[in-house]
Amino acid sequence: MNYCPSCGTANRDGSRFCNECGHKLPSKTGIICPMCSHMNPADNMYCDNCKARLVPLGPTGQPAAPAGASPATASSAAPIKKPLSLPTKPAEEPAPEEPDTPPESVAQPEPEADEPNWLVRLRAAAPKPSEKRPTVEPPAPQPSSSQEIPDWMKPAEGEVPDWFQRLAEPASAQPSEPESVQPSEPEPQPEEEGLPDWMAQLRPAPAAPSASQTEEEQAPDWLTTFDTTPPASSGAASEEELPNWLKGMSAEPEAPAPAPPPPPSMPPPAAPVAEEEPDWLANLRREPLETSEPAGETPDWLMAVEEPPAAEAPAAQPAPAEEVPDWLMGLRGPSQPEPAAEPAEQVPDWLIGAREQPEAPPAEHPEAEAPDWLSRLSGAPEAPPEQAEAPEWLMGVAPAVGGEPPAPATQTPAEEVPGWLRDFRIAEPTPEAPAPSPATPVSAFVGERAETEEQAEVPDWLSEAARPAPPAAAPEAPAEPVEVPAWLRDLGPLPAAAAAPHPEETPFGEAPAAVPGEFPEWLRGQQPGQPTPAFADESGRTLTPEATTGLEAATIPSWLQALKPPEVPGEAVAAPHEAFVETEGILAGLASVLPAAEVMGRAQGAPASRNVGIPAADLARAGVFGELLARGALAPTVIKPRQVAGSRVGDVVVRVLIALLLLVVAVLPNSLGFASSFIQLGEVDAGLYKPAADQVAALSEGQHVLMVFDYDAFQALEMRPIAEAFLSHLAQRGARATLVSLNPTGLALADTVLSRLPEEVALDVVLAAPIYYPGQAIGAQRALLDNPADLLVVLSGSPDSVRLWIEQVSAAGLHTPIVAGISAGALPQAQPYVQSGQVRGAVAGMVGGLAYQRALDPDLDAGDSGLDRVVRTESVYVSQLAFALILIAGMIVSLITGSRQAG
Amino acid sequence: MDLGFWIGFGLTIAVLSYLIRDNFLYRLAMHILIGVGAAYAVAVALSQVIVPRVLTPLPNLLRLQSLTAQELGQLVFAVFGVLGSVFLLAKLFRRVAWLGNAAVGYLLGVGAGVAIGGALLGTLLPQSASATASLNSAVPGSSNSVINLLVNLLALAATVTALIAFAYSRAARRSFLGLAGGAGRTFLYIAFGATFALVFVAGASVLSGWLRDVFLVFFPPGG
Repeated sequence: MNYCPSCGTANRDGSRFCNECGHKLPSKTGIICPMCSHMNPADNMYCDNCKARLVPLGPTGQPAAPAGASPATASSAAPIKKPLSLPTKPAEEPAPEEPDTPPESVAQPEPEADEPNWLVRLRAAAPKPSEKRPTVEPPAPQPSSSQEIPDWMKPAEGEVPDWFQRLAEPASAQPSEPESVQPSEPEPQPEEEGLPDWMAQLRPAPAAPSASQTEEEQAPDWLTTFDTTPPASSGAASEEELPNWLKGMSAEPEAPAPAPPPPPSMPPPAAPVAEEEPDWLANLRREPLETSEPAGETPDWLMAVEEPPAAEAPAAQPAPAEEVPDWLMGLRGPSQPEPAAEPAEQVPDWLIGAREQPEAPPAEHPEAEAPDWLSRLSGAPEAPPEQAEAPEWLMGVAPAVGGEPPAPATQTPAEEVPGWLRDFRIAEPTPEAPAPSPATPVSAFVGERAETEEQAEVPDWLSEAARPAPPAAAPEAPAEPVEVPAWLRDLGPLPAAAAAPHPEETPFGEAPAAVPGEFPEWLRGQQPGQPTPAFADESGRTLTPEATTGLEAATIPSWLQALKPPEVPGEAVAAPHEAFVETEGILAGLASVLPAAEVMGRAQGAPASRNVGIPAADLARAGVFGELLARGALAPTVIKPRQVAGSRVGDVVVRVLIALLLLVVAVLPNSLGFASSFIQLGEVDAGLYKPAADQVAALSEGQHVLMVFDYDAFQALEMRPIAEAFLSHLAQRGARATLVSLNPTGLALADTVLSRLPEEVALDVVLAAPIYYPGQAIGAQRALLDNPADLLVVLSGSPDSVRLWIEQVSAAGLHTPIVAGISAGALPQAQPYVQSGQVRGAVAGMVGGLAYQRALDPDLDAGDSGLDRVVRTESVYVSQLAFALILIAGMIVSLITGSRQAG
Repeated sequence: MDLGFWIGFGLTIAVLSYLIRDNFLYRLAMHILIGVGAAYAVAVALSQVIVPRVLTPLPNLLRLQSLTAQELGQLVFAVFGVLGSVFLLAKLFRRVAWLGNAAVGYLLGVGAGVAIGGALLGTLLPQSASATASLNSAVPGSSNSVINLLVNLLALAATVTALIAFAYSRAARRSFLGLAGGAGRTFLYIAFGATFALVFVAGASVLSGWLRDVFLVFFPPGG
């Protein structure tokens, strides 16, 4: 049954809408058996399939009642709806364990049919237990599907993006070293359809067929899109695809832009691998960028970066201030002056700053022309970082490009450095830096994990990135020209004044004073090593990190502390849940699963809580009840019916008195003889015997009469006068009678009647001894067929016998006239047959028999025998009258007493 | 005063002792009544049926060639009767109980046929015709009295409503059938009451006549 959540009406399974209220029905309401997962109705206590218990027992051992149910309405209320229970694995189903097979087979079971999709995907995405996870994992949420993880984020199979690897190489390394590339397989290109068109167009043209092809195969798309070729005149078409914030960027002339300095967060580039490194990135470190750029591939904002300022102004589209990020503003080359039409907020400061540094020779210090973060990335000596502008956590992680270890004062407070970043402390690749310091941004991701036993698992690219770039490494001119994006070309070498950046300058350009919110003031003016100054919040309050409670040191949660790698090198500490791989259940094969055994064990071991929230009033009543039980006041007692000694005697007396009354009434008329003064027997209604007498009188001598004796012994006294009268009348007519009976006792009664008749009468009438015919209806038909008669006389004390003989006569097709001698009690039910003519006449009761006898012999009442007959008849009348009166009196007394008891 | 009278008198007292309470004499009287009745029935069945209709014709099997038609007929009936009786007795044993199926079926079938035919021809049709004719004063034999007509109509109504009470006993009380069934039940209550009253009166008559005989024994007329 499916129960409506709105009205609770039970609906047939499969119904979609409630038949009562029309509410949409859920797919199924009921209880899923935890053993066999069979769906049962909600009100089932046991499963219909496996007979497992569905409703748990309560604390008292009784079935737990559902919420809101009351015992009084349990039977009449609507069916109780119970929530669905999650299917669980049956206990008898063993876990698939094969000792010979590797653990992967256990860790990766076959997905069951009823497993949710997310679980299947998790299982598929879960790495095999034998695989070792890379040491470095970005603290990003785990994607639900492996397909959703960008390839550039996955250091799968030890591969490192080449561009990233090259970033870690020193600037003097040759760009073209394909052998150093670890994986021979190109990295899987990320899905390009996810990239905006403007980014897709930023694809660098291949400088060398082989190298560039390899680079593009291995470099992620979003980096390969940074095309080094200057944009053509198809900037207008590209403008349509550019976001608005980029459209504001004026086209830059295709001037060779100096290689921007590497970003400070990036590690010093390692040995460059030319065929795997994007051209633009290589050029950032070594030589000016090329000016060639395929037409139509560079958006206008890049063109604005490369083209001369004259061409930039008309072509540039002023972009809204909020759409041009500052970091992009700062990427503008030194050769392009800021367009006057552009608002200040449209040009990122970092780009502006880059433009102001055209004097720096790109060959000598290509990295110096680039923003600080970029210069740091290449490892070239760069100007001191904009520590006044960058957040301290970033500054603390990425110190000056020169590899100077940060001063202790530069160490940011613990509360300002994210924990995940704090853990990734800079490794100490060289002895010159005794203290592990975050020399490069890349090394920040290495952290101390590199020192653990997972260090062997650290990809080379990452370990190399941790290596601080040699300060003395001077950028060398690349062996082959590399295409650099125009916007990077415009950056040019940083001017000398850029070495000492303006205090207000940030690595991303000038402080956008006119753009509130991008950098808080406290951060803008923050200098490395300086304590956080007081700052004002939105409401204008002056806050200090020490004064505000909100900025006080926060408590590191335990789970976060657990992520902290141990300080002892070589000690591998993994979170318990990370090292645990579930081996059974529906989560088998998945790692990072909370160990169910521990939890379940704890739950099983924990004692059941007895605090069920019983109200105090109920507890008080229970206490009283307990006291009563203790005292024995409520001991079960046998309730015996109250016995009154006199009641039994009284009942007997009443019964005896009634019986004596009846006896007196029956005997007294017989004894005193006064009944004749009350009843005149001669005045008996002739209708009680005359029709029957006429039928017998119509017989002639020698005709045959079939006489049936079908009455019982207790009716003998009443039927005897009737029988005697018939026999006497038959004797007078000279007819012969055959006495039959369908009952064995009828033969004896017939003999009794014959014994009271004069002997000559009996011998003349009766032909033979009475005959017994068994089988009721069959015997009656047999008797009629064996004894054809001119008259049928049925003497019966019940109407059934009369009806039976009447029916058999009709069924046999006989037309024998029927006369009946019946008791007074059977007369009403036999009257319809008399009225219908099927019975020609009937003699009813003793009175009718006596009257029939008097009619045959008027002198019969004379003498003693006559008196006896009269008294006897009158006594019967009186007795019957008295009995009726007594019966009526008893009914009245019963009604009165009954009404009194009911009231 | 013969022995039978005194036995009867004693049994009468024993039965009347039930007025006080259930006792041994009463139980004895009841057992004697049932036992004697059963014994007498067996005796009659043996003397009236088995001996003359089974045991007597069977020896004629030994002289089949000299049998008359009547004797042969009696013999055939006797043989079939014996076989039927034996098969009927097989019902007492589970393994051969299937043998009595034919005998039981024959008995039930013949009895049902005879009873149904007689009921149809002897009661249903004649009584229906008689009930219809009694309401038509033009039919000869019917009563012209208004009272008789009303009584006949009342009898017809009582018959129909009594049948409805049995046939539609689950009808709602307030529906037409429910009301008609209620009237029929009333007539049935009256009929059952009258039957009980007649039985009671008949018993009273028997008691009165018996007490007359007892009185005459103890107090004969004329001293």
